[in-house]
Amino acid sequence: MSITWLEIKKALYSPTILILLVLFIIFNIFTVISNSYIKDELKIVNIIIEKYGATFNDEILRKMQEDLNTDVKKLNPQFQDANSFINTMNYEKYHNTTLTEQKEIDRINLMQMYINLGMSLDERYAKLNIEQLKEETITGFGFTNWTAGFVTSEYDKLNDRLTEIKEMNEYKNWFFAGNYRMHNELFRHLIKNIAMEGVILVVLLTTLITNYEFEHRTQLVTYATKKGRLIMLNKLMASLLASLIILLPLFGISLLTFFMVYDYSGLWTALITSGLNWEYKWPYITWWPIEYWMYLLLTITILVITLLMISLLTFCISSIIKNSYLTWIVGILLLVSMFVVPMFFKGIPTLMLFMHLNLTLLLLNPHLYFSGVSNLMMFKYHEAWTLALWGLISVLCVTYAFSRFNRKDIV
Amino acid sequence: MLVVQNVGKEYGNFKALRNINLQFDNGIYGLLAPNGAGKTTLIKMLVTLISPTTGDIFYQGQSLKKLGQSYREEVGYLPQHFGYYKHSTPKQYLNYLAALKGMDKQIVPNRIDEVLDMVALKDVKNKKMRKFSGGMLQRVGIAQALLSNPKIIILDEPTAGLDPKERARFRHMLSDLARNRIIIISTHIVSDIESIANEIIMIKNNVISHKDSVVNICSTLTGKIFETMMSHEDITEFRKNYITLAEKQEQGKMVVRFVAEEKLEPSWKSVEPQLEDVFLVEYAYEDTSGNNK
Repeated sequence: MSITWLEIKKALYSPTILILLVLFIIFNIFTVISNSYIKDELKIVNIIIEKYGATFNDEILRKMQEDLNTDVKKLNPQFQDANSFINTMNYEKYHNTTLTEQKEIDRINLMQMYINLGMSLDERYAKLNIEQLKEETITGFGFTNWTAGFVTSEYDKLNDRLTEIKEMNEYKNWFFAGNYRMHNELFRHLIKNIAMEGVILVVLLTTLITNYEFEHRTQLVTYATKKGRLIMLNKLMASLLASLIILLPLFGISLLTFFMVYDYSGLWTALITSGLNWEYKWPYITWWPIEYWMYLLLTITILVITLLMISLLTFCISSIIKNSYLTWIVGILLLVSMFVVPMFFKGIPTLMLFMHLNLTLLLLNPHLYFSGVSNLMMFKYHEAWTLALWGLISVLCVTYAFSRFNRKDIV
Repeated sequence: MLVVQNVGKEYGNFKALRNINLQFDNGIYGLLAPNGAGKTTLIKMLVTLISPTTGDIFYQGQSLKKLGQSYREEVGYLPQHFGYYKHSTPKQYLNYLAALKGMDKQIVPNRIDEVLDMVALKDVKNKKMRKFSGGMLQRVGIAQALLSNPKIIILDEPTAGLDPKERARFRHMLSDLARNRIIIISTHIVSDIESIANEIIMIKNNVISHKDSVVNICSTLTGKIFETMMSHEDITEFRKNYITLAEKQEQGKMVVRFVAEEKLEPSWKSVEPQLEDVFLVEYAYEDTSGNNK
């Protein structure tokens, strides 16, 4: 039997890890279902896309309005258009109608909301001011010298990108209306939760695999076998593979539940830069046109790579500390410090800029990936630079850990 | 041939072993010293768990540092404190170790049965080890050391926890195995090795004090071991002047076995020295840090 697989089994048969995995999945399912009271209202977007296409323009919006006015006339011939119908609708009138009529009124309301949103976008996008955002960032973080120049150049590029979005009408894609905050629901809540749960599981299983012999006092027998200290290589591989195996059901079941509850069937090819996906002060201005399925796939990829790097770093700490609980605490403290420490470097812009290339930011902000309006995560290729930097740090740490372990006496 | 050349081990200022020179051919070697004398340190160096601070160890003329895996492949090792996995069965545990020892997958199932049979554990090979007694666990440890049919077997306190019957069985098994193997047994229990070891290695003050056959080592005390009978009242005074090796009551008096340079009293009866005598003379008045009292 492969040594790596035998090492993986140590983690996969661990009751602690299995119980935590099940609890996390149950928690995620519960969270998705408990927030799903809006799911029926969201279905309208798929109906719009099916009937009018995934993108819209003034012509389509006009056609939609005409169709909706016709529907209103059918429902109540007294009204010529949907807006006047909706404006005169009140609680008493609504409850004096039949259930079927209520559903139609709801649909008309929702349709009108999406038409109005679509119509308002040109004006809202025209008001977006990247210059103002740039100034806020530069003065807010106290950037000077080359850092100010760098930030300026990034915001200039972002301004070009916004112009491109406007020119190419990228924002005229149907998506769930921003007030439902579905982008946040998925990426900021569910996927961030999965990432946090992933950290706990990955750190636990990596320490378990790495320290297994020392904690069961079998290290003398194990490291005196033919394989010797090279078992650490198998342990490293096992930690990475076991992490992937554990993350698969965690991501898989949680996301499957989400997409079973919410109907995204017509939205997979919608662009994240859709103007309807405008949840807070700024819309999502990604550096590239990214379709929804691609954003989801890239987010999962980034998080999985991040978690694998955390596994590598945990492996290094474990091989030095040789105590699972202590390693777990040190690992989590390291991640927390990545989040906290940059705040202490406000007076040193260069350092603060580099400090934002950290794994914790990636774990905490999957909803802001590839976005130009995300404070110091706004830089083009921020995710790639962060992964590359920590990939290098991880490789150096692992090399050091191996070299140290090979030299150390095993007692 | 396994050769230990000028090997020393230091932990900071503490010298655990100094200038150790040994040579092992096929046969059984008993490494005899009290606890804390450096036996386990030497053993751990022989199985590459720790590196010597000075000197080197060679197998078939090549340094263990260079041989690495190809040396460890030839070694079976039972540590003094044998850890195990509570939730595993002996079969599962040995399967895991077989993989680490790089054994041919085809022969592993049969070999596991064979070694478990040798230590009388074949019937419980599928039982969880958490239910095992100390003696049974020790036998699992012995089984794993023999698993890969190694050319060098190194056992650190192998009989700890074994009952007399198991000890006898174990000694017979080692005698059989020793024909074409190097077997090194580290112990502080003289009877474990007295009858089976080809050579005894004794460590004192962190250096090798004796390395010879049992007969030759015992001969160093020929004419110096005596027995005599005395009253209970006299023995306290007697202990002040002589190293007493054994004392037993017989017909209301004490029969004392002791060491003296020459026969001073007619009542003293000269007796054949045993390895136990040498061990006691060597270590009885030395604490484990190597300082003579």
